[in-house]
Amino acid sequence: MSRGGRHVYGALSVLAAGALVLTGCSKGGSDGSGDDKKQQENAKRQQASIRFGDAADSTGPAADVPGAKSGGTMEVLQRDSYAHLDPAQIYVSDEGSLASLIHRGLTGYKATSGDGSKHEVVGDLATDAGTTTDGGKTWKYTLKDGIKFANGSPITSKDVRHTVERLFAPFINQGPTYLQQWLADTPGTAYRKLLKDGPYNGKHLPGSLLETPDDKTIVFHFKTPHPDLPYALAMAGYAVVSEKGDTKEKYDKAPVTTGPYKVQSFKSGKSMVLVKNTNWDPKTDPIRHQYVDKFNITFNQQFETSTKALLADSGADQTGVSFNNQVDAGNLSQVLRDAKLKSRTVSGYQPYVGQMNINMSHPAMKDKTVREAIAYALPITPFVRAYGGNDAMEVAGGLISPTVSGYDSAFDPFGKKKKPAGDPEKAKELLKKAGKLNMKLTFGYINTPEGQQYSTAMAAGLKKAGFNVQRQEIPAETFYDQVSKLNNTYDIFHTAWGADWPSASTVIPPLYDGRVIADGAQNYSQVNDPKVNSEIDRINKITDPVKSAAEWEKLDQYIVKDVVNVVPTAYYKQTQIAGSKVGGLVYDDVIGGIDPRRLYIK
Amino acid sequence: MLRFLVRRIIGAVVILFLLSIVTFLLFFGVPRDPALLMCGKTCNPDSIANIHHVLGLDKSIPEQYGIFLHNLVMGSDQFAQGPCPAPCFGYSYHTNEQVWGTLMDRLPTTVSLTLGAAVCFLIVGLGTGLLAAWRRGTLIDKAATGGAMIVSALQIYFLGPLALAILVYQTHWFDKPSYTDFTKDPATWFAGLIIPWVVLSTIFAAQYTRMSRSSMIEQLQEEHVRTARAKGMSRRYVFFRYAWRGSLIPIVTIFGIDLGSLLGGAIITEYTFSLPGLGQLAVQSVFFSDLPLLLGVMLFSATMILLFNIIVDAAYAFIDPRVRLA
Amino acid sequence: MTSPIDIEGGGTSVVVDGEPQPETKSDTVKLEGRSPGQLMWTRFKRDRTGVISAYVVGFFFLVGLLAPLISKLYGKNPYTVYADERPELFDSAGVPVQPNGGISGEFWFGLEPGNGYDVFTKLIYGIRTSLMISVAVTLAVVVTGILLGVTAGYVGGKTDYFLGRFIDFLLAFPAQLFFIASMPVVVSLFVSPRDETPTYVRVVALILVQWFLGWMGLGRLLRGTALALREREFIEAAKVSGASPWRIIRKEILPNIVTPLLVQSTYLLPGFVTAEAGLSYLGVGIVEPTPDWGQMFSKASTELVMQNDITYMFFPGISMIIFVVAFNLLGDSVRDAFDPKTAR
Repeated sequence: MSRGGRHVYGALSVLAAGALVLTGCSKGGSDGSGDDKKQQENAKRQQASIRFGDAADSTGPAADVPGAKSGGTMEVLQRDSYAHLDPAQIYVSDEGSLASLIHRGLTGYKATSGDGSKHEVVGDLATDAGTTTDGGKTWKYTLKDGIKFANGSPITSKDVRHTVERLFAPFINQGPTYLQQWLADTPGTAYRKLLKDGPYNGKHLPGSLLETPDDKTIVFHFKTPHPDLPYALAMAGYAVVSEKGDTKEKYDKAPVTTGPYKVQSFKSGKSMVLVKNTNWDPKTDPIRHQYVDKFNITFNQQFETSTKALLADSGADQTGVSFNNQVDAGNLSQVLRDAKLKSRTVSGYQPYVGQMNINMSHPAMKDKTVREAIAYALPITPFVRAYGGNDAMEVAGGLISPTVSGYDSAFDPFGKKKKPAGDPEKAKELLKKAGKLNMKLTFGYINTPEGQQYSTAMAAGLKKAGFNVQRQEIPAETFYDQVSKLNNTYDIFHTAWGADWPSASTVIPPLYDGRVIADGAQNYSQVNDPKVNSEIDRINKITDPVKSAAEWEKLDQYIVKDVVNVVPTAYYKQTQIAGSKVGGLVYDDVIGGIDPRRLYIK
Repeated sequence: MLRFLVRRIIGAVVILFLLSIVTFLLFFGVPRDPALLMCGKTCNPDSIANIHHVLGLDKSIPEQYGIFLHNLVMGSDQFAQGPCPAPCFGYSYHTNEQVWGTLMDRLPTTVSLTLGAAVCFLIVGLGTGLLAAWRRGTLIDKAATGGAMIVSALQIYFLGPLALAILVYQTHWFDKPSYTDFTKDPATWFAGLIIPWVVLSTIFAAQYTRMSRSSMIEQLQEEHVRTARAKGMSRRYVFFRYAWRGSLIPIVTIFGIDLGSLLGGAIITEYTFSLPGLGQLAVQSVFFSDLPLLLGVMLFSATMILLFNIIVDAAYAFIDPRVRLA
Repeated sequence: MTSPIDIEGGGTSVVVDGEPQPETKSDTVKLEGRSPGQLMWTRFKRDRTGVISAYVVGFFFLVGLLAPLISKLYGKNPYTVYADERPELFDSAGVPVQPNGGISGEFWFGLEPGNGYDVFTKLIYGIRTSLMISVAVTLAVVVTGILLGVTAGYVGGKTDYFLGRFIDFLLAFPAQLFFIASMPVVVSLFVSPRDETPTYVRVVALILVQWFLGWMGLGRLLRGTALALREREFIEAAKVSGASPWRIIRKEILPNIVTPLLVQSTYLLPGFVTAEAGLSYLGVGIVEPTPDWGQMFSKASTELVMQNDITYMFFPGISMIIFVVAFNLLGDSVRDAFDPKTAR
């Protein structure tokens, strides 16, 4: 979900925990504080290494959820209406959750454990996760038999070709761009030149890039190896689009779907009804279930509203759930402390990792001692505080989140977990050594209430270490555009990044590869370290996902400890709740929330 | 009467026209580019230029203004999002919804908030004011005057969060205020708006108490009232029959103006209780640099203010026979 | 035989010297030679409510003025992040662990949830900021009101007509919405790219936008007064004797509008205080960490505070009520002192 501006921003409105007091006088503290135990519990829960599945793994139907029953209507309370239904426009996580029910792609994640923490990538519409014989340059997929769109027409390789080619059309501008960039072999947006108007003017991608020799076979050819293709194709953004049913811009409101559910009605901003797709054949799908008859989705349900309704657990809300709403900050500690609610709540990490970028293009920041001083001085507590304390944030050690394959919980080079408020003495010493005491440090912060709060406290911490901090506000809506400008004036600024798939290959290369530095690109710190660059190339060639995960973690540690172009701040957490008659409630680490595909009504 | 109305309406239209120009200029003074917000993740100079073109931002400001006026009066089918009948403010940059539709969508919330609060503060405010005037100089009068003095010094941004903290967050007696359509579920509609009504009307009620009391006292000293009393009519009869009606005239004026500005969006109240009304829409349009929406809200609010000014002036002719509209 | 000129010259009072009329009248009241100002002062001193209110208002201004000194004696400042300095006093979400928002002998008014600023110093500095802005707006509004209002009233004709229409136009503005929309614009006019947006820029912007839509009421009132004065004999006389319009405005009209001006500004100022706080409450005025009354309200309306530390709300809340009530009572007393006929 890359830099997910609006998404992160929305998800961050988490505030603090509650206490019951009467008017006028307040009891101290916000009860959620004694959570050391929980932290350890969470640390144990982390993404195991993911492997790519073969044909046997990819054969449907999916293993039954224990105790699951068919039938019933499920009420779904959502905050934001879906802006996009066209798969190619889907990137944000709430639309991603919906896509898991209505769209299918060539590959997908199959949960291999009951708790949503172990996964493997398998073939979804394809018979396996993909085969490559030359280390990831050529990938071959074969479509399964009996796969159909919701309107009954069969899915053929032509549709897949069309799906890929329309990604280049100008009106597709919200979805992921990995595949396009890999096919065109260029970073940034230059890929659009490859097929300017998409497939609509009769032009097609040449056979040297995309081959569809028959109705069942699709072959991708890349100039450089991309062993991550099975991961990428599992994104909702690359789900299949019907060639005959393609209505271009209008497809966004009424797509021809493929998943176990189809959209019966959709009133933007109000409601949506999902019903069973009779043309979905469970035997072709190793990932999804079709237990519930109908999903009634209502929008504009704020976190407080949905939490309250689901907590009350009466009437229709007993079969209620929210795919993406979190338990609101006000109720969070109450929900977490109540043992009776334990079976109705799930908690887990979101894929985001917060990090303070140090702008390496500024001469003053080129001194590593100065950067280390920043790393030691920077207090993390203000950030954790601003977003609701330890229930919502966890002080980070490295840049790889607990939901990503390869996470190492022991890594903490600057002692942030022990001293989250920073170590100004040590920082001052370093700054003195560098001869830069009282140097100017421009801190660009996002202009939200939370941003104002944590940036002032962080600035105060840095000042104690001997920096002359200048805070500059950046409007929230254009924050990421401003900080990704190469000539921006900020020495330090905070960003959050979530992996697009549970491999650090969607974290480290886009953020720290010195060769992708460009206006609008995501190498925010503008770091260009030869060792990092060469390691990225080396690890990107490793086709075994388990091995590459371990290598990425090593590179992560090198970046944080030896390059010091970023200071990791926090891992984002969330808790969700459902009604008492909802079964199959599981927090899925890949989705980053409740897994809608496993839900059933008790 | 007709001439008066025509003249006032022409005046109002001129003011609205000027206001739209000011808003236009104000918008182009903001150093933010709405295209950046719409650009999505694959933003580059080309796509920004493309968005500028789609939004018509590549044209000169007078030209854009001309198009805006034309669409407002004539409607337009030039929009990529679909046809846009008059009054057409275009489509919101941020949500891609028709601005007029959005305004009409948000209006019921603001109307509910305003009317509910107006009923409360008129009854409580006028009632207390009358009582204080009736019992002038007694303890009741002093308590009412003193109470009104203090309550009118309260601010929504203090009283609102305080009410929320006590009634919602601490005691859990009420749900967080929210808006449900009246036609859908009157009970929920009522329950969701009760706190905002009480908070908004408390402050207004205090002002109306003070106004109605002093206006009443003034009236009681008028000669026709004293004559009536001297003729032997009962105090009660004179009080309600003569003085009360006279005392309403200045109050109607103020009430009309208050209603107009509240219907244009009670910004702080809606912001405090996160009610999806026009005031909240206004704040959003500013934060998202959403010109069509900003223009829509701005003109709508101003229209409300002007409209109620005209209504109040016209109503004068009916309430107060001494006024002749020339 | 005396010439008509002699008769005129030998009249009781000479109007040309610029003394306002009431003064000349009081001359005739023999030895009781008290100016209206003195009269007003005596009346005001007899009004106990007015005197107490004046003390309260004065106290607020004194606190604002002496805020740096007070906090120095108290030994703290409103910028220290106690949540990081004294982490034992807070939980991980920044709520004070002690009851009642952490009120103690050390922190008299407790600690602010979030970053843990000291509430006492924050409040007195906040009062300082808010009062500074409001006084500036009031002054600007008074000057504009005099300039435009008196000009319109005195000059009359086309000038009056156009100023009148201009006032109508500005009155039709949805004021609050306009404030919100124009704050970012005005701030951007001053911003320098490399350094922190200085607080004074926000202060200046707040003053400007409030001034722009704040003067019309006073302007109209003064126009009316000037219009009435224009027809009075002493002005006529001054005109006949060849005084320049500027001199007439300065010497004849201004002294006569001091009364409504003073009364109106006492009513205006608390209005500006609450409006400024409203803007900061909505997040377009003064922002953290600069202490400000409105910004404290904005903090008080966060879920963190409403949920966990209701005590905090009362410090900005009660202090503002006291301030506004005292100021309004003072306004009433000033009005009564000037014009004892008004019924209360």
